[in-house]
Amino acid sequence: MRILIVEDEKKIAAFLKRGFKEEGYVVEVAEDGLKAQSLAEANEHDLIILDIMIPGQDGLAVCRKLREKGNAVPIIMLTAKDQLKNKVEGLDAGADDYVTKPFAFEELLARVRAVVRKAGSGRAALIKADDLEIDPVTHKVKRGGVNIDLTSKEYALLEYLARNNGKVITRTMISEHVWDIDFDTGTNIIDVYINYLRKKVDSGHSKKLIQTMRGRGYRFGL
Amino acid sequence: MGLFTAVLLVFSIAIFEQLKTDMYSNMDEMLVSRAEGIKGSIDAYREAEKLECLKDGRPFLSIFELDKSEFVSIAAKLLEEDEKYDPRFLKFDIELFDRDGISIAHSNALPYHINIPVEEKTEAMLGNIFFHNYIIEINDRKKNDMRVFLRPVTEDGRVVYLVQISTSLNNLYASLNRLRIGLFVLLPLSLLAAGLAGIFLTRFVLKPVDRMIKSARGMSGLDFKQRIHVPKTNDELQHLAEGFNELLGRLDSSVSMQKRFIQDITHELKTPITAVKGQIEVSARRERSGKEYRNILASTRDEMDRLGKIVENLLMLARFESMEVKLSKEEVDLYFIAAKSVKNLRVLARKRGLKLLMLGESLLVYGDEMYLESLAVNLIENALKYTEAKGTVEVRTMKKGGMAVLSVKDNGIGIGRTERLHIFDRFYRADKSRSAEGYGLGLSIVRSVAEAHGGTVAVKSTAGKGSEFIFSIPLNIKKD
Repeated sequence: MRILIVEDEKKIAAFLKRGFKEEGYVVEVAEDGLKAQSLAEANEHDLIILDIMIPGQDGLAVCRKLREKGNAVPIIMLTAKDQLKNKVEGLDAGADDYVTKPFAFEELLARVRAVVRKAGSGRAALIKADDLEIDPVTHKVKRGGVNIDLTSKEYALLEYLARNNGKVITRTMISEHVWDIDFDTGTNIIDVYINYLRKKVDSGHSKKLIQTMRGRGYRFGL
Repeated sequence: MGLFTAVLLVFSIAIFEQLKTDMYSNMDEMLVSRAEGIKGSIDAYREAEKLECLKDGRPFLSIFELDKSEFVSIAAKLLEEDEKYDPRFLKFDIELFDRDGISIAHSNALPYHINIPVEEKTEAMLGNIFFHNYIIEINDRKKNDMRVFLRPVTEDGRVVYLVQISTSLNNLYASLNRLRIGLFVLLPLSLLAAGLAGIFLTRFVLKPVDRMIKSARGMSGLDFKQRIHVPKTNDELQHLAEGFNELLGRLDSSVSMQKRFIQDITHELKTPITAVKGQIEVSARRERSGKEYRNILASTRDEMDRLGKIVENLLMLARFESMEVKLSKEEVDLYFIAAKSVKNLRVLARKRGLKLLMLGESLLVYGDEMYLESLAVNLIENALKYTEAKGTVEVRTMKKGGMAVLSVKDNGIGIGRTERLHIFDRFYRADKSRSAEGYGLGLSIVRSVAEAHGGTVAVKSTAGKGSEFIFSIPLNIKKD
């Protein structure tokens, strides 16, 4: 699942990004309203966490504009503005939920799940490639009708690859969006996980969905 | 209103009645005097006759003995002469009757004859003077009211002749009528008209005021966005409305500033708390490395410091607002306080790549060390915030014109003229975006502290070149 986090306070953006990545989400961050809007309009996200008091263009304006253009992406507003009228304003601007700061991270996680669940019933659900089926809501993966058991990290990596079907994915991109890897330590943990995935997803099937692009990275698809 | 009408009515009636009485009196007086005049003339003539008779030695006959025809001719002659002197407009009709009630002489004043019924003449015959109103019918349509005065003249207790003076009441009636109309119709009508005109005029004038009042009343609570209607009358009313709207504008921006301030403060307070809480929660979800934990702890400490400062400033401001500040004044060295603040802020200066200099001389003043330190810290921090990297902030203490002066000079971005006017205001925030840390409290506290010490703070600035904040306090004023 891809989440766009719109927050200008660095520390807050940092722990949100880390927390969601660790939960298996793919995360992008925008620090101002204009960048947020252009990223959101590219329409690649399953959920947007949107702060209101941000530079450039405030969160309410971003939300309204997205809704005006018919973008139905689930939006949770996350803000210090806690007055009733602020809440009403936020929800009326088109947000699906409204969380005030300070908040408990666990609660935010649960609300994200709830909002996505609600939206999921209408959304084009499964990501497919060959006979592989990925359900981004339930995180269930099947190939050839057979369930595949994945850890959350494995799932996050697979979903990210599958969503970028056909594109070259570099290790840096994986590090950015899926989970934090510290390259300075010279780890090859990404390669390790790619192998785990291959074993579970590709072995036993004629079509190998996960390909290595030597010198560059990986690619998913046919 | 009703009382006024009643009073007016009573007053009008009183006047009317009085005038009526006066007019009748006047008329009657004239009738009487005419009659007396006639009698007087006759008497005079008789007297003259008497003298003549005495002279001539003839016997003087009393009227009773006088031949009627002779009396008639006397009377007639008198009336003729009299007519010459009778002002025509009064038109008295004079008639003389003998003791039997038969007309002796008659003036030609009126074109008709007045014949009083015998019974009333009898009254006169008995020696009573009286007045009588008598209606003459001229023809089928025209009537003439006459006022008739009958004066019997007596000699030796017996009536000798009657003098009858009459005059038409028509003029009097006409006058009274005019008066009646004037008092009871015209006067009330014109008063009514004047009243209506007055009401209409005042309504007309007051309408714009009324509208203003309505708009003013319509404004609810703290909503100062509305404006009252300005009447285009080019007078004081318009100025009043304009002035009022200006006031509303100032109130509006003041309230907006306060609202904005509350918003900013809410954000400033909640952000460190949110950051620390989130960092701790996320890192607690899994096992982390020692290094990571140390990072989290350091970050928490920083955020708590930030939060602590904000809270401290807020509290100080609140105390100043509610006049709860108690300064414990003693002799302190302003240089020492400034130097201490500089020392504490070196880290921040270094972080921002700025040079921070402490210059000047020892200055003894009378004040509260804690608050003065707060003042110095706020001024220096402010300078550091608004100066770009590689810049310099100079902190200097000096004596100037009998005052102790603390100057904080920077070569930062400077402060525009409009901002300079408001920069010490409670809720003012010069930096429109939130890229610089901070909020509108620091300088406001500086001013409060300065004022509490009987001093002042001022700012000089050139946009793009830098600013200088100058805090002045009297030197060494001892407690008395």
